[in-house]
Amino acid sequence: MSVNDGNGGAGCAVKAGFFLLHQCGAPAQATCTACQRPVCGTHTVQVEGQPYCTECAASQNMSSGSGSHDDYSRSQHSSDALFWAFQFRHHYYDNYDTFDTPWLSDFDDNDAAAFANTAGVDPSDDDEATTDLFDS
Amino acid sequence: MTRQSSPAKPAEDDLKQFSLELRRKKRLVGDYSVQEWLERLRYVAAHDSTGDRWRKRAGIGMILFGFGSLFALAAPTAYLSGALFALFVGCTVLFFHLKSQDIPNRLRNSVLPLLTLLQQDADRKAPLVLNVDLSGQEQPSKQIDQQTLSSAYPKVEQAWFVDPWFQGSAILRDGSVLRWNITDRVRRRIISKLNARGKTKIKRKFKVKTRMDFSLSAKKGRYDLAPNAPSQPTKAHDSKWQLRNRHFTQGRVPDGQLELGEFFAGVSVLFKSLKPVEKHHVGQ
Repeated sequence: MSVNDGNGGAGCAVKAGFFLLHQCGAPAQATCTACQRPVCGTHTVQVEGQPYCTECAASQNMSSGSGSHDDYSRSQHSSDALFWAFQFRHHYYDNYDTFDTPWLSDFDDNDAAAFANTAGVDPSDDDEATTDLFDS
Repeated sequence: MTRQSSPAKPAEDDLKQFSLELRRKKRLVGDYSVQEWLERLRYVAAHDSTGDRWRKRAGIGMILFGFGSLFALAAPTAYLSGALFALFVGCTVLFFHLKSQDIPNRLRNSVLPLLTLLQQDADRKAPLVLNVDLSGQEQPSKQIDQQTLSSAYPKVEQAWFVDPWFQGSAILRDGSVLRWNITDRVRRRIISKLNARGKTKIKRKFKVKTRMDFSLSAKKGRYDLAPNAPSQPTKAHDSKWQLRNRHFTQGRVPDGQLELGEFFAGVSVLFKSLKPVEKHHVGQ
């Protein structure tokens, strides 16, 4: 799916957001080495001199980080923090959630594959039943 | 409460004033745009991080120069011991000054990462309201109960604290409003024991239960209730769905960091309860 930046140029194809996924659409400044999609400067990560989109870099774990709190504390700049957010999102959808939210229904199978996971935790579990914290 | 919803970058003086006020009150209250919050909090976090590094160095210096000045007393001249003692005093003063200026780490390890994650979902121009209490859980004003469980050996004193430390509300890019309220309920036990040599040993143990309350207000024209929605609307409104969810986590560290995965798991229940009525273009 091609993305337009609103001025006739190629727009950034990265899906921004956490729950409300949406096309970034900002003017593209590079092409992702992995997925060949146009990427804006904000969503570009340089790995060994090659430009990658934040989604590919996060899903292929191209950085040493894993989206943990500790990784965030090492983020010195806003661009590092944004990349951390993509890592966290990827980690979250892999470990916490199942890919069945209707909010993502506007996107195609490739988009969905970026968040595909198997080990979901049902957040509707009754927490009250397990909180015997103060019984000891 | 300060109001400034302009996404413009805050001036250096403004940032300094913001940082000073935060250090003094240990409380974060305001309604800036998400970008402006991030600008402000990154400034504070960077300075706090530098302060923590220097405090660590001052602490090491305090120990080294303190012992050094004692050992140097054995030297034939008193100058060396005096110089080391002066350095010890300097490090001590610096250490306690930096400690008084410290901002609790929850700002850096909880609030800032949460806003970073929300920044692309939140409406860039709308104000994001935050009320964060960083003063710590063991404040007398937060204590709700205290009792002595055992006055004999070992002596056990128990206290309970309730700390509603993090409230916020964000208007999302689709016009929905997400609100959260995070409250820590803390049990502290102070256990005193006498060891075989007659020394009193004191242990402090904590258990923390965190309650996260979420609410999502979404427009009915845009969203419908999903089949088998995990969260049912709590109030009947003509124009919007009002959904609520409560989520719990537990831990053993007082003033610990917010479990962001659990936070988003709690919010996701609300999002999963809705489905879009039709495709909408969500613009900034």
